Amino acid sequence: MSMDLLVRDLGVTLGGATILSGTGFTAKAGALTAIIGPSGCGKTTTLKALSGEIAYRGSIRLRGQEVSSLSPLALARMRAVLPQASLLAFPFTVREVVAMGLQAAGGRAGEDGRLIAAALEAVDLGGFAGRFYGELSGGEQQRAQLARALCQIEAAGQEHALPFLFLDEPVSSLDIRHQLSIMQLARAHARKGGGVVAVMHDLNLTAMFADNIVMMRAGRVEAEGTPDAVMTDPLLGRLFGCALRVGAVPPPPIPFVLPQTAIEP
Amino acid sequence: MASVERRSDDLAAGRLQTDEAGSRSQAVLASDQPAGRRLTESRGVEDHLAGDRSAKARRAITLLIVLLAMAFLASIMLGVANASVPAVIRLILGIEDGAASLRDRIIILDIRLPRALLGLLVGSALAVSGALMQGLFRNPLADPALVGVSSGAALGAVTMIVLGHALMPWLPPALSLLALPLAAFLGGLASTLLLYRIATSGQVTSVATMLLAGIALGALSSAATGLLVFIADDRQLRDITFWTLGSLAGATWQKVAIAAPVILVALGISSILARGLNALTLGEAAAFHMGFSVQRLKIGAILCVAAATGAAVATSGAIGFIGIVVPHLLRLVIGPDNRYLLPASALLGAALLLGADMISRLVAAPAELPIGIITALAGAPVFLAILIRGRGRLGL
Repeated sequence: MSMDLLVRDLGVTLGGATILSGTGFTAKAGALTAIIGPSGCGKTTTLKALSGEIAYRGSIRLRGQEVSSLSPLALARMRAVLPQASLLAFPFTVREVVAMGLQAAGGRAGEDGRLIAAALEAVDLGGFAGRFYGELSGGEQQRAQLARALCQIEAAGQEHALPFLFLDEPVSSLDIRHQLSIMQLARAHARKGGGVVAVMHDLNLTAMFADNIVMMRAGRVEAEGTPDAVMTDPLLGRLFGCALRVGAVPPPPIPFVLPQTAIEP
Repeated sequence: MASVERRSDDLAAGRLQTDEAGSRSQAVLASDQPAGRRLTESRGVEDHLAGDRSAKARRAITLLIVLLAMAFLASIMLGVANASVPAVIRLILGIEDGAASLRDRIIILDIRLPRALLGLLVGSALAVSGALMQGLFRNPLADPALVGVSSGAALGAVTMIVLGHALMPWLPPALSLLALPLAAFLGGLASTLLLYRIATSGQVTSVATMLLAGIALGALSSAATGLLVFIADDRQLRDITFWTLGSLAGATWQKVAIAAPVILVALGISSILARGLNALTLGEAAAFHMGFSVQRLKIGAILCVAAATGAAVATSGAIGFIGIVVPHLLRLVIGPDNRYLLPASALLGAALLLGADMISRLVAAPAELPIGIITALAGAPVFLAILIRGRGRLGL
């Protein structure tokens, strides 16, 4: 049985419009796979199909099983998902939101307060347990949701292997320090064998953390490979429709900062 | 006042600890040590987390049990007629000392006891229906009476009163008694389903659409009910008036026996839905990601609401606002976790309806004030308060 996530000839039609057709790539367990591409290219739709949320044509096999054939509970034990943004209608505290992760996936871990504390620490929200979720900033809410997903992974147990983590723009509303720490967290999850699929917008962070990059344009995969193989001037230019140059430094008076400089090699 | 103070304390604590956490994650960054590994390694972290209201919720539920017991006893002991409860208990236990008359016995056992039991059942059914609908619509303003579910159920009941005999003349009287709550259930179910379909497009439930569609559905049901009133005979009219007012006055053991199984089953099923409804707060997609079958969850909640509201309306007419006041008050104290909110709503709803019934019996004695007036007097201001405070957040 393959431990990986295999996407073959994926097609999705929503409301009569074909969003994806003939999409295919492999997200290996133990690796961080980033999906990049211009807005509207089908990144989020791809992630929804991988999650089992929407109907699709073709095949998505997660650890040897077809995603569309699995029950919600079985899926929840094989992958956790970080959505883009979540609004809450009721005044839950941060702790209660994160604790929902432990109630997920059949709730095998019980409601262990130490797991909640550890998950909040992991996303750097150590002192936020008693705050109301609705009072947090967008970035803090995003990290609280990630803590919830981490708790779901604990609740899922490890029957077969560490679950996959699907992240939809995980660092879009974070400051640079938290962008780095969240990406490190994702990579650490992958290193432990979990496998991560992340929809990304930041090309530098993608180059830094991704083991495998899937480039999408107009509902198709344009290229797939390691950062140094696909991060090239012609591919990026074709993908985003502007003349990007990899590794070029802007002319002297303009300062520029790369996230890479914050971490020692 | 106290809650404001607590909150600002939490804020200060949060800020302090953020700084600590900040320096910690600096160290993490510098050593490139994966932060995620800590999740499984740091099981030794002390479990002293703020924001856990489960202990408070359990205390509140204990208190509510006491409150409900007191309300129940009071509603058996208090009344316009002077009847001695201790004497009747002695009579039942066989240590009769001659003080309890037959009149006392009838007042307590055949009038007040079924009335108190029916109030308990109906109050819990209405409050839990409200909490379930609010969880389903992800909106604290949903209420079975407000959005036309109760008038749908009343239409079902009135249809059965007026046309039941003409439609099903072969039905024996004993079964036609059961047909009434069934008709109310179907009326409530049709309204709930219709409302959900209208108010939800894609994955988003619009508050404004829900409230407006509720008004329209309620008006439609009322118009149909009016048509039936127009063709009803005198005896039927008397029965119909009862539905539109809402009252526990007609309580009998028979009605208790009809309502009890339906309501108890609905309450039982609702407690199974609690975790899924919590997840649904994060959105349908998130609930699905967390392993809940959203479709089954929604159908379960809709059936529970229709059954509980149908049984309540069939036995005591349309009583409003319990479903909106009770969960709202409880959320302020114990938070919105449905695992505690649903049982607490059942208890407080029952206690409040018994209290309202006592007021309706005693305030204008020997006449009875319709109970709907009392629940509306208490409930409408609460509804307005939620509306005004949540205007921005609820997207109205």
